[in-house]
Amino acid sequence: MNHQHNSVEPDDFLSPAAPSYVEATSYSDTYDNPFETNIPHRMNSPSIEPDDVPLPGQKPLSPTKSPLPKVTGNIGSSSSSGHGSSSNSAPTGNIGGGVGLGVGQASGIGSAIDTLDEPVSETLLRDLRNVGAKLQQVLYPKGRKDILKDWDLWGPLLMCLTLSIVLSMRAQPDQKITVFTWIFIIVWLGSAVVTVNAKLLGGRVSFFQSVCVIGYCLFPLVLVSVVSIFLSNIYIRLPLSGIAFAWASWASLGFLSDSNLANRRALGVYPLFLFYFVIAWMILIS
Amino acid sequence: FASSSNSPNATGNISSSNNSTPQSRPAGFGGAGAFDPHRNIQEQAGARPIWSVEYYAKFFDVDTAQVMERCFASVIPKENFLDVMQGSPDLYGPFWIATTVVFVLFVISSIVESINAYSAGTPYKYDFTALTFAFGTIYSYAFLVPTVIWGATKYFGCQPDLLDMLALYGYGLTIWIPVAVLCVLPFDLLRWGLVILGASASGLFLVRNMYPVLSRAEAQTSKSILILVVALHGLLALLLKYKFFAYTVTAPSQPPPPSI
Repeated sequence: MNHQHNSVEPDDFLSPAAPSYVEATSYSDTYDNPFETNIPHRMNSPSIEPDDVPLPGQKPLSPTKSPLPKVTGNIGSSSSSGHGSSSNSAPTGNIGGGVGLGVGQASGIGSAIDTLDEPVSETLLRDLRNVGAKLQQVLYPKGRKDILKDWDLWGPLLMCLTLSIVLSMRAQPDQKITVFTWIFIIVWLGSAVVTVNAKLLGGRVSFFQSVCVIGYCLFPLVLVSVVSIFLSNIYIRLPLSGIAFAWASWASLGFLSDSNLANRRALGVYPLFLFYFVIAWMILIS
Repeated sequence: FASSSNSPNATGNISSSNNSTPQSRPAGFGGAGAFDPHRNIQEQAGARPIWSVEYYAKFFDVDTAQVMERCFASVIPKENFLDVMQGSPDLYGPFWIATTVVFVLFVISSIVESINAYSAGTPYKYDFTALTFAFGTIYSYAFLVPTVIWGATKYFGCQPDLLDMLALYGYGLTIWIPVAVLCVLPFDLLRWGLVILGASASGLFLVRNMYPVLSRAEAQTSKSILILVVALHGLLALLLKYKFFAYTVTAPSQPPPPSI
């Protein structure tokens, strides 16, 4: 076995200045993989794009950064075996495209090495800012309408958890678990059922985008539920819940209205109203 | 979900293009010109595998006007319900009417309980387990019972149609929505009257539309299945009355009665 160790030390691998890994054009020239007898020339395979090609709609790499090594998932077969798994998985994780669960992959393509080096606060803040931007779009729909196309499920999860926790805090001691469970189930199953209903009626909605929108549009109701912790008077809660219900329904209608339902729009929209009404009612009586 | 892909759409709509040709979609109500869901569903009827969402779209192939027409026909039975459905029973009505009834019952029962507590002078504690009970009862009545009846009639050679059964039972629940709303009024006689009225109306609707199917069996079996249907319906009515529309004697000295 010829192991031509070019001057790459395992420690240098993460440095952008690591020279020789970039120049390798095919594995079979540089390394003998003891586990495969015939390695195709994956570098030239048209089905796998190199990692530094930006996906549509994403900003390309800045020219000062060196392009990533062209790894294709030969985990554990390279010379930097100790770091092989961790370093290989970062670029290959981006091949999946920008449809991830909002873990910064939309902006992280081609800069996986940078997100590895950035402080944790920056990583968290990026997602929080993303969630915040979407919330603002829900509350006051100006600006780009397609910001919610880049769906993520963190926002709905935050909404759902906040709602469940707040409402179960206010429940009777022996019913706290029931309340939490019901709110959780209603939010997630309800969003899924409303979306599947729209699809079954023949509408053209994307499942996760719709779930994302419905979850984000819960925000007014979450606000009212937090406010209702402090205000128990029903004459204040009733109009507040009503306003929140109307606001949430109006916001989600704005996003989900063009799903081509023709004569069935009411059939697709009614479950949405029922969903928000039920949640508004639960906030009202809590 | 086997079909739809999350491909970004340049027009900024939240929709995924199943076909390769992007269609210009007018926003809002005006989508009728560009895309007809009924035609789309009928065309794709045979093309989808059984585990994809679109396969089941053919059971949801109804327009708003049709659903409303069927709901009214179940409450005011002027003609045979199977004729009203014109041979294409849907599952949208049964599922969403059942779900609406569940939530209406929950809402109404919480109002009823709060009125009881208010007039008894005690603070109102809402009861979430009513929701669980409502879900269990209504969903099993809307889906389990028709399946059982269908199985029984199939066993006895009546050649029933499962979708027809589900549609009958599902749309037959429509009457409980107005009954529940009116039962907020705190008069026991009124509540009893409403429940009996609703039960007999939907019971008649059920029996009248199931009779042609049941009569295909021999006389003894069809009579006993009919009695079973009526008995289950009566059981539902009683459950609803005692669980959700319970009238309590309210006096400040009495503690509020347990609702479960």
